[in-house]
Amino acid sequence: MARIVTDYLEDLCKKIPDKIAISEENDSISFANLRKNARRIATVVAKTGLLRKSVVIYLDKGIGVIESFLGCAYSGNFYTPMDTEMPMSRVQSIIDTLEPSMIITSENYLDKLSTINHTAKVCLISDMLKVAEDDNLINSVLDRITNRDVLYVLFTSGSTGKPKGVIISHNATINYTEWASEAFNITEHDILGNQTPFYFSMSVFDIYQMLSRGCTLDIIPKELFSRPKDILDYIVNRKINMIYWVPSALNLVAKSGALNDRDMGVLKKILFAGEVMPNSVLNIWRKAIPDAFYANLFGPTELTDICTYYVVDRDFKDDEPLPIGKACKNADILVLDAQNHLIEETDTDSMGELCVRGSIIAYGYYHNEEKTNEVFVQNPLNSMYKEVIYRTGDLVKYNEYGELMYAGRKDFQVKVSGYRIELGEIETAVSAIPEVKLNCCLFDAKNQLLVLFYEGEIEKKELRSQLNKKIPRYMMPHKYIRLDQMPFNANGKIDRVSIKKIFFED
Amino acid sequence: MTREDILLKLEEIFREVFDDETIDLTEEITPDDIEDWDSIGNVYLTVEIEEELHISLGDDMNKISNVKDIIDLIINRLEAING
Repeated sequence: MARIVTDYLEDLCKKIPDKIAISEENDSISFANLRKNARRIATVVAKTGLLRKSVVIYLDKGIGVIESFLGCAYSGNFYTPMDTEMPMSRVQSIIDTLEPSMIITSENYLDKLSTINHTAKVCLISDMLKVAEDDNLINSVLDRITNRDVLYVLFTSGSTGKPKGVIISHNATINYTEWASEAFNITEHDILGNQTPFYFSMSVFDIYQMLSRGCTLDIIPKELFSRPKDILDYIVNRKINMIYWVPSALNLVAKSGALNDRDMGVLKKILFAGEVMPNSVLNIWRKAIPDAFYANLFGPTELTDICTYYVVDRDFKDDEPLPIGKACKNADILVLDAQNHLIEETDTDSMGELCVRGSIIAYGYYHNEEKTNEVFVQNPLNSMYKEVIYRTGDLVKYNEYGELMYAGRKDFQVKVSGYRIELGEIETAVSAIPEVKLNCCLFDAKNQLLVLFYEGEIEKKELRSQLNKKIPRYMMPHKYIRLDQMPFNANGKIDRVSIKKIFFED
Repeated sequence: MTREDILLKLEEIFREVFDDETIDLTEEITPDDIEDWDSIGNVYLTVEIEEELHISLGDDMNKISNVKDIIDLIINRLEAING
């Protein structure tokens, strides 16, 4: 097993140097060239004397971003990718937290970067790639790096307050990667179609499966995600046999009807995470591609990406929830009630907070001890030695199969007319109404109202009447707002923050 | 809007909110006559009336005892708007 992530690339370059590692619509790179370019970047970074320091990657999504990630790893430093479309006030906030020593960017962004305050050295990737690699320098640096060193810091898109930088080590990434390779039987013959941005934790799966197992990572052009027919054509033409997307992206394709008019047999493995996957959407995919392998993955950035998974092995009705399954290797699940007592797998009545122990846990939040101490806490079941667990803030319960069922966010639970209501439950029920393409339910705290936002060809009255048959009366939304188009955030998920800003006061 | 217009509009709203197309609304109907017209039902009614008629009913909807009171309240609000 690899000690640090660069070991993966070193191994692949001995076995399959000329195989395509990453492809884009009009470009591609082999493993050997990926290694060469990463080591050129590493040479520049290491020559400036940086070790175990923060490097920001401010580039458009593409091969260059992954070259830069690996360049940081080869130089013994850690990377933070940033969205180049992010408002500059947020960029400034992240830069203030990170205090990076270097920013790797392209010429296009020099003006933009000059508008923020920082003390980092700014390097153009195009210049870095012209430098000859210095093997001695890189080797001497790597001798000083341990698998406990930080590989990257990813900033969560948190709905409120300051963004938090999640610190992940080489060890956590390798543990996660090894589990996923095994669980989903990933080999060098796979072609993985990437949807998620590289500043989002789901992309850790895509990038490190490519690096560890030698599969090809195909970066699907972002604009195709608004054209379902084109995206399916792209998958077929590029022979993509595996995807790991957010459910919103799968939903857009499913509800467009595009799956019905072509043979999608090329797709063999369909994985998803990042949001609740409605069975109404999954059933469309399962009907169109019945032989594919489907798995629901679940976990936050703070656990590298994933802590539980469920391989879809039975049929579900449209309005049934999909399990989030069982723990991944190197993650041990503790479901704790409000008094920190353990809820056993056989107890199907109690709901508790999903807490995790194991090697995939982040070190905490960068430069933010207060937030770190809130959720990275001593295991309350162990008073004998220091053992950190991560409290996810997600509520779960066990079903009769001993599988975990997601029951919503602790902070998404609202109390209306004395009833505790989970907004996700309302959304799941609405998703099962065929005319509704997308929906999200939000709580208007000022007016104490449940507001349902939806996209689809159905009148409010009809929607209300159908919903009335699915959920208890106290869970019924008070207001229904039909949107021509549901807004999405940069990760491809429904943008609840924007909706709240537009429709709610305060 | 006349009292009759308001009553007709309210009937439409009651049918939608309580998902019952058989409701024949009269001014004498009270919360005891409609199964789901409790405190929760009253919130849904309030939101729907406010949205449909573009008025604000506020806490006064908690003081009503029958449909007649709702109509009076609506007339009061409409008069305030229209002078």
